[in-house]
Amino acid sequence: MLSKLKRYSALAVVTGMTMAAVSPVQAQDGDSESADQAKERMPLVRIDHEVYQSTYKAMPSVPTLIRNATVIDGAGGMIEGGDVLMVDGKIQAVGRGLNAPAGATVIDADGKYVTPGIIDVHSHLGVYPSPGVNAHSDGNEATQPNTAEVWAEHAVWPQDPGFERAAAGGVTVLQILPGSANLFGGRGVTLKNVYGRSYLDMKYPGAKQGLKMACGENPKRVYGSRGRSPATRMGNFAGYRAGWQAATEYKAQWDKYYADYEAGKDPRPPKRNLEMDTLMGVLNGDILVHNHCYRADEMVTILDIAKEFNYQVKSFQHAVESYKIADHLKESGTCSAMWADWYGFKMEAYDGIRENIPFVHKAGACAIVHSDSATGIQRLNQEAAKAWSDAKKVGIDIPMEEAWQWLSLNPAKSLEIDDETGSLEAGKNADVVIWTANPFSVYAKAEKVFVDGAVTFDLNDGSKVPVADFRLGHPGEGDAK
Amino acid sequence: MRNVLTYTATAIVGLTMGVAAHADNIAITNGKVVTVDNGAILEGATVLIEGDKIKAVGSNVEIPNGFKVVDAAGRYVTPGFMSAGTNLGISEVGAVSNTNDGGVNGSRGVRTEVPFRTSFKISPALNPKATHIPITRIEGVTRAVVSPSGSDTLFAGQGAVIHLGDSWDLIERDGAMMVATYGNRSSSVAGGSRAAAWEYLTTALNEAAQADRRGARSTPNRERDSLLSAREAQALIPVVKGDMPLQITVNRASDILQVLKLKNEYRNIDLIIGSGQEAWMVADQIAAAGVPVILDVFNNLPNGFDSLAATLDSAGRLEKAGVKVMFGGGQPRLNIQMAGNAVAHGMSWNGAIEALTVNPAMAYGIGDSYGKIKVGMDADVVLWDGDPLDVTSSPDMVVIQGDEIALESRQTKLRDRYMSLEGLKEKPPAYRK
Repeated sequence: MLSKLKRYSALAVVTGMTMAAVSPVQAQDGDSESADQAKERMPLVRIDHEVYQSTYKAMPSVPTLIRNATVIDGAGGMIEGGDVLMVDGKIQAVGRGLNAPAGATVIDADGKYVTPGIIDVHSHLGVYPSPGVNAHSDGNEATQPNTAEVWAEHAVWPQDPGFERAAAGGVTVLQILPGSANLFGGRGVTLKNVYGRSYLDMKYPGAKQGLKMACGENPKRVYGSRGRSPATRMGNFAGYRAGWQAATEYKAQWDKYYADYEAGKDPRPPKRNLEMDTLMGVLNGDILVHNHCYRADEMVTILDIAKEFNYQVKSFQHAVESYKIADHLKESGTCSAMWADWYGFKMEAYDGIRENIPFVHKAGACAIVHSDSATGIQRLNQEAAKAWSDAKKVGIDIPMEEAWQWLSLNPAKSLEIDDETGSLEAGKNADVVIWTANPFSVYAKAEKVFVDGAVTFDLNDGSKVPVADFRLGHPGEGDAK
Repeated sequence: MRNVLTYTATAIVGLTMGVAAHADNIAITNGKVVTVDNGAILEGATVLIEGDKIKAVGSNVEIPNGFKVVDAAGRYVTPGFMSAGTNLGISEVGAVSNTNDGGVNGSRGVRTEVPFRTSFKISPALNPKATHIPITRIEGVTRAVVSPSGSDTLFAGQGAVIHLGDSWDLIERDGAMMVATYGNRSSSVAGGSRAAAWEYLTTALNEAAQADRRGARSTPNRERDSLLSAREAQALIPVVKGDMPLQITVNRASDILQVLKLKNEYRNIDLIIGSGQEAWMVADQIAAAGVPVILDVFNNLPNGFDSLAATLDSAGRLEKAGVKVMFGGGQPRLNIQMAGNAVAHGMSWNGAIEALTVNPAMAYGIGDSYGKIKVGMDADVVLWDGDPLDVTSSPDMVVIQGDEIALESRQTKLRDRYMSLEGLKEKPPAYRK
């Protein structure tokens, strides 16, 4: 399956395919023979998924040396009395006894902890913002079971006060997903946790979009209650397969179009279908599937459908029963984004256990701590700590520095941005948190939060605490947390 | 800090503690005993549990013959904690409606357009075998307020205080409080304005006061122009007399001040503020009125226009003003994490412990028997493997009314069944016990 994916992405490169609006591409000059032919042909049409380009610019930063901290590098290592040097928005070095370059800000972090910024792969900030009034309810296009054509980013309200609260919790990157009412809920977007005037100012440059899919109770309840399909899990799975079958046929048309064009013919492009563009993006490896799914048996079936239609499930979201099938998840290379201890609020969450995250980790599968909550996102470090200590209590002793992968590196992997962020390694983005104490303690607070080397939150400096427009003139305006 | 992360050998031994042995006589020795008795924390102390009561506490306690001795080895010993807002025993699966008995919604069966469920008591619905009870108690919560939760009501009904022991009889106090709501939610129930809700609330209380004055002359039929049925008015009498607290869910600061005015009208009324997201703004007035506040500490977002000032600093600010704080909402076991976060944001550690013990005990009328490690109190005692308020800590031993509780739940059974995924082809998990 991997090799097939590779083949598709190679094709995508050849054809310049990536995401959603039609834009003609001028035929290249250079090869005179093909250039002659090109003059007679319609210009190549490609589907550009990056039509809405990020306008993110890192906030101004100065070279900064954090000294003498307990450094958890996020890749499994820990350095007592360690230093982290950030220059030009990147991590320049991690180690002991580093020298500060001229003009650098030096922070003595004796007794404090330094970690990579927390990455939450499951947030609805901006699409279900505070205040949670109906006028702000933009997370579920619950009007038909397949709305793969909608994009969460088009609804993100960048003035959601939830972003500033998440910053205070050490969150530097987050994925905003559509809700789980639909089988195919639409595209998610990865953001840097910084304020902007539009989501484009926050959009993580180059990060692939996600496709939110949903298993189980939500879609069948939403549509079954309206007397339409899906009303059962049978209907859910039929709906996924119908979607993927249509996408496979759609992709075949486009593949033929590109192949004909490559062969020097003058083909007419297939008719665009925005819903199918998203699903084809998945089949081509350009969009990552993040699948809301609780029950073990359903996750196994989803993995079978992924084999049938030749795509990869990048992550299961919530994945309350991953502990029952962690071996399957290891084999398929699928991450599980989980809560530490949410359970029981619906049938498919009834078998939740406190050790889900460490059990998945122990099996060698990819474990992620996620929030799906505007309050939970503020203390994901505590959620990891609970799962970590619950495992310890039953004899599964995972070093804390290894467990931190649940908060940064594994989420980065599931978003395919782990070559840029998610751990404190030279050359990576300086997404860093200084904690007042061991972040696996309830008493620890994020003291300074850096995104690309710039301070986005400072517990002790009110001028560096972001305040959303909405909060101005309100009684809570001055409170950092 | 470091010791929080270090698990002692004794903690592991604690795991093997087995099945509940009823009404043991237990001596917990060498504990760091958080008595919650005027803030005293006793190092190297013994807690003697005889039957269902605490027999002795202190450094020079003689251990009688036949007592099971548990060496705390310096670990924390606290009272079992109490959550001030739960649906324990009245809900099994939130989204499965017929497993939920927390409230009566809508106005069906009510003769007015505004629902007054004053006579609704949740206690008959209580299921002591609900799976959430063991899941909660093995994390150190041994008492809970069970609250009615009708969402389309001004008065949702009467709650109960329970213990979380292994017993058919959990009720410590029935009719422990009357739950009402004021603010934006009440306005929608009252037809669109909280002012209308206020009129209904005060009219209802007036009718209860009148019914009380009429006493024996009261007829079973309600008056033609009255709001409440005779049954509903009767149920509200203990509230106006101050025999049953009136717990009002209210968030906006101005609404809280409005609610406090009830104290002027009804001298004896015993108020509790629930939720109280903007309570800190009027902390002095709340303290002066002697009204306790239940907080869900994690609610620090302006999730509506009644809670624009919500902050993690609420608990600490209320404590400083002299308000008695309690914790409730969400999973009851996570109220302890709430307490830890309150401490991280300005509350004192002792204050947070009191918010988990004596404050709710006093507010809900069980302060004489529960809330402290003190001679004569019910033996709700927890031995911890670390700082009880930290997220990395958990109980090594839980005693409820003298019974040592097995540290088992539906969740621990699932955990043990799937601890290893080896050999499931040969022997499916269904055969693993």
